[in-house]
Amino acid sequence: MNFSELQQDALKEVFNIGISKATQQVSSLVRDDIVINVSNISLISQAEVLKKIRFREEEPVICVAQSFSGDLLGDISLFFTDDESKKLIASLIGASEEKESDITQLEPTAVLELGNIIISGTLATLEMIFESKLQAKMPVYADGECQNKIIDENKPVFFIKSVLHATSRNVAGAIFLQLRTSSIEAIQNMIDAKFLDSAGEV
Amino acid sequence: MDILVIDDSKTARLLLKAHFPKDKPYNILEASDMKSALAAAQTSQPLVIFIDYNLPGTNGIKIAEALIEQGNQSKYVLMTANLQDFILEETKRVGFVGVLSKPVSTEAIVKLLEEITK
Repeated sequence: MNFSELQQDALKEVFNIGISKATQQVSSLVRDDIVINVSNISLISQAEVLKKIRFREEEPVICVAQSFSGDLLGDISLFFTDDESKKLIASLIGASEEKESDITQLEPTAVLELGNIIISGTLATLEMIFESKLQAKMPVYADGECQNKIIDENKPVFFIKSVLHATSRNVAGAIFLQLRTSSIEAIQNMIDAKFLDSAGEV
Repeated sequence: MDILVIDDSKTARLLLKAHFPKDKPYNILEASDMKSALAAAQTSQPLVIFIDYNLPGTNGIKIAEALIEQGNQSKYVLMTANLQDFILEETKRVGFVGVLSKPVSTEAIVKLLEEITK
């Protein structure tokens, strides 16, 4: 990957700003403080993405993914384990543990809504900072084998991960930005033009 | 007038520096983590310290607390896009004089610096 250290740093910073802004709304919805941790950037195969999104082996995973096109081509995906997703939904609707059947019934729409808030908010920030046009498709919800429905293992992606941790409920989710390799040059140009040129580093 | 910028992102530090008004004699110092922040603040005693919230292994609130414990008397500004209530409450508790929303703008920095230095 021909990304300079400063370009990687800039993309992490933008992604971090996007997640931070989007998480603010979710924090008030679930009535919890959310701590964010953005990891390093890497260019990996989608098969490796599958390994990275497994929090714990053999545990069911819930995910919401939203593809985007326009000046950049990629996906943002949000993953929770099934158990963590249920805890989040309970806090969202104010349900007690006794109402687990209600939570299970509501899970797809509620997780879709939460995911949509985080993903759309992040995309909006990317669009605003890079002064670019990104068209988001409808979010997709999946459980069980959700990774396989969303990810094509044969294609490499540019990958950045952020972990969101709702502190009082000890619920963690992960959000991934995957950029198609065809968009790498485009985003490098955007970073140089919008970030590093103005800072006098290019 | 010394100003210290603490952010693990070099891009964020560069951008903040680029947005400072050029007609004022600010001497901008930089730090990227707790250790370098404590050392820089002790050496220069800056008037204002701009601190990022999300930092590897720590956060801007904890760094400000460490600086205060070290005897530093600078004024603190938190830089973040993360405006959750618990963070804003922490800034008040610790005594930050302002919060600068990321991405930063020249207008916001100028306004903050005017308020701090008047």
